[in-house]
Amino acid sequence: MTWLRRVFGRKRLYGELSEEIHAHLDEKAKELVANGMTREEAEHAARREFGNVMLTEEATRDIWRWPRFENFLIDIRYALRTLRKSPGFTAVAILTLALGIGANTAIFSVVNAVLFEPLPFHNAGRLVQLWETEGGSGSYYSGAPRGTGPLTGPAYMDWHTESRVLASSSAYFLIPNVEENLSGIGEAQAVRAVNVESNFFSTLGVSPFLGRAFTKGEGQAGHDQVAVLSYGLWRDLFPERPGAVAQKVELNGRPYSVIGVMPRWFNFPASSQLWIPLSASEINLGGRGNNHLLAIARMKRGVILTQVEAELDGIEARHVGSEDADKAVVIPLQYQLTQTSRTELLVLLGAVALVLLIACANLANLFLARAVGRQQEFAIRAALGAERSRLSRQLLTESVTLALAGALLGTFGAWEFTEWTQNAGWLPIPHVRPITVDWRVLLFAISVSALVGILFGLAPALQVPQTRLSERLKSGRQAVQGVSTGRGSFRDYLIISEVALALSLLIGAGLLLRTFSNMRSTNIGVTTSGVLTAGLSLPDSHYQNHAARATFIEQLLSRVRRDPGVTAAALSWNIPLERNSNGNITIPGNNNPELKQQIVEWNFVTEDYFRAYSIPLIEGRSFNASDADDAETADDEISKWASHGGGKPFASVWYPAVINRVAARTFWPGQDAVGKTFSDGSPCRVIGIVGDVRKLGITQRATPEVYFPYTLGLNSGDWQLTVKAAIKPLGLLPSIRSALASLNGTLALSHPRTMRQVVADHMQETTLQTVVLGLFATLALLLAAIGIYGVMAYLVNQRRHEIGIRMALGAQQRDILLLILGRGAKLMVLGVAIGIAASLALTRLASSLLFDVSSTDPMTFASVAGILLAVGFAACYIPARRAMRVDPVTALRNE
Amino acid sequence: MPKRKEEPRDLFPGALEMMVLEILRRRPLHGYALAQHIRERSDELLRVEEGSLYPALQRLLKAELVTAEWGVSASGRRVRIYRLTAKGAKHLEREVSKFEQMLEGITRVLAPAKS
Repeated sequence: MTWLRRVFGRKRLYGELSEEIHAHLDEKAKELVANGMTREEAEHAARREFGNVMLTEEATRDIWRWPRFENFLIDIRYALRTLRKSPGFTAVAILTLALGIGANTAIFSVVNAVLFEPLPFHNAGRLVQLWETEGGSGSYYSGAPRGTGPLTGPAYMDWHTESRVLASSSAYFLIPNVEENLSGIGEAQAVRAVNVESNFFSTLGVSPFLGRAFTKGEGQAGHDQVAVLSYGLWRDLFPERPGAVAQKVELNGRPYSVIGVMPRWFNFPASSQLWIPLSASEINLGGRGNNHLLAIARMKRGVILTQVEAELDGIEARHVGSEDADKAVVIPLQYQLTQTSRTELLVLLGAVALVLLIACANLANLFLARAVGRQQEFAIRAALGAERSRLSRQLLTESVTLALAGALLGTFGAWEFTEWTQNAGWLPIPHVRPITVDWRVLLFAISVSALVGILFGLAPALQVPQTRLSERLKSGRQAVQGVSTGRGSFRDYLIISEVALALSLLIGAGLLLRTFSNMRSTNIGVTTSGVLTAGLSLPDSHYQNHAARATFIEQLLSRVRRDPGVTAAALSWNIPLERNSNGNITIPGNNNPELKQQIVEWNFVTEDYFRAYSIPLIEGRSFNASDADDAETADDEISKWASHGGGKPFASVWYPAVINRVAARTFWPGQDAVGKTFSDGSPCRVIGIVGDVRKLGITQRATPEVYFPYTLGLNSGDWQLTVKAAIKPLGLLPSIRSALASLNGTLALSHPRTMRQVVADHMQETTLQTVVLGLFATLALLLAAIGIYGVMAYLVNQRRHEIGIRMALGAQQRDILLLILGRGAKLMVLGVAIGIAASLALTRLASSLLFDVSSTDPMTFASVAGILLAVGFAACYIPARRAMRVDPVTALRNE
Repeated sequence: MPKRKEEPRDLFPGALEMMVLEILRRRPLHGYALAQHIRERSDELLRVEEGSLYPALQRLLKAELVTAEWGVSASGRRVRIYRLTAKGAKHLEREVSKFEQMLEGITRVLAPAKS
């Protein structure tokens, strides 16, 4: 018999088998009748001799098929039929699972794209980011490993030309948070542009989606006016035309030809919109004193990180001597790009897994209750010859079928979520690779659902068929007492673990909530209401010298102030929280070696800056109009003096400086700082002291800061505009834009935001964590409450008879209430104890996400445990009240 | 109700198949006749549950040691008549010699204990 006939001729085959067996029985019976039995007796005897006809038929059929697989299909069919028969139960179970599995899948899709998937570059494992230790200056560059920073041009060039273990390296340069002016097509807009070496894209191993990448000569002056656009910018600029290559755009007033467009997914460095060549002079800017370059490199095959570091260290030491050589720090690019979100993502993944576990516990309970209700069905099936393992398998098939149905729905939700992140283009987690549901995510969803199905189906599958089936058949009523207590203890574990899991999540959420509110209530030192900020980049091509920039700044401020809604307008290098720049100062006469060369934040501001932010003046005076001019005069004098070969600084010439309170206390403790002098290479004198402002972030304490008149900072074209409004600050934008356009049509405001928004942006990650974890924790609390309610209600139902007897024997309603509540309380207290112990270990892992609250904060632990117990009690109380109302007569009559 | 697995098993695995093949070697028979044959020939020493004959027959069919054809029994019923194949004959020979070896071995081991 061929395989095909076996499969397709099966129905006939089975019919024949059945016919054959019945012929046998018939013949036998006939013979027995012939021997003198009655027909009925003969038929019985024939069957007795033959054995179990159904089992025989099944065993006979089994010969011709793959019994395991086919039984599985039958089980699934049966499972679907059973589930259809109880739509309420099925819907609740599937929805719970869809929520749990969907949330897990969604979070996993993010974790997968950010942490697990290799970067979408060719042989991405060999890509590294290069950093350099900065000799003890403690400078801070976002994203750099502690104690390191960007590279100096000469160091990079030495590495670039001499390294033998790097297949290629490519430098790039960008000023954090600065956008540049793009014009020539439509209205001027601010874009994030990156200067990259011509081998940037080939080092990464990506090709443009349209056109070409840079070629070698395009780093040189005269050939460098070419640009590669991001997919997003291309769609913005040329919505109709499919090709943009050879189109001209203007960046900072200079014309560039578009030579290529990168693929949609390409997002490196994060949120770049435009890539232009980096010239040799820009690489070498500032020589060995200027750590400004970022660099990526591709290692040769088989090379490891330490080899690269050793080689680069050797090269550096050869050029500057081992005394002065900074050390190279090489970080795998994948790690570099994901390190900041690693903890956050893993915490979220852990949290959502806990929610799923709680959901599992609830379902296990639901399933158990349902299986108990189906005992008679199982008893009948067992009596008909079903094996115990077969019954267990049936139950497991049902739970896994449910889980898969939930997974299907959940994955659909997760897929919608990833589509949304794609389209919204917003997720406060840096990711190079788009977040999608790929095979890994699908595999995850399927494995999780199978695991979940087994997890919650296992308890009933193991327990139910053990029931003494003959007794079940006989009684057809309430389970025998011995059985229910055995299962009762399992239910107890369910409650305990649900409470423990929910508590861990609630504590995590509680700690984040404390962090969130601590950040919200942190005084950053400025008034955030009514303040509007925007970046402004003055290109060298239009504003070649200090005078041109100074004129522009004065004109812009005076035109902005014309709007009656403006109460103050200022320009500055940096604004609170957002940007920082720093330098060294020395304090004459201060012999404290720690203060010898002190890093201070510095900022160059127009006179209204303090007023716009309501930064309080504590002592002395703030800048006035003449300070700007005086500083400029001083600047001229000092440069003249410096060009004559130095010597003794004149006592009469100094830069006016305003310092913050921390600076005053650090450098001149216990003294009046006003009138004191210090040196930043040139003589400076303190004219006033203002309040402290947090510059590096909400969670970073204010450090010493020095403000200078803007006229001293005119070497830079990157400024921040701050406008204080009498009413709604965003309403001022049109008038500010027209003021800007009236001065120069190619300039664009970059990232205009209210100061409130700036603060919100800084809290974005914490906000997201708090919201998501809070959501999970609420869900967990709800699920746990439902679980506790379910178990207690079941318990009361089971013990009706016992409660009836107790009441008949004189127990008061109060006693019954306490009996039930006491049972619940015992379990919950145990759960809370375990949950607290687990949380003490778990929250430590997440302590980097917290601010101003200890990871074992007793307040949070206590209040959260209190909330959980209160909710748990409420969940116990409903069934307990029902128990109290049990009428002993009815309860006993039922038996 | 006792579980199927725990039912007393009178024969070692493969014994029933061997006997069926041996009976079929002499002449083709249908299921009921086979069952009767086994009972009579063993003088009812062996207790074979008649039902177990059918899975055994299907196993032999699947292994192509026997063929089956619909025919008519002595009592005039439509029945399936099983017939030994050449492959079946060879298999039987091998099995019987293996069985005799085994029996021989067991007998030798048991012999001193008996004396």
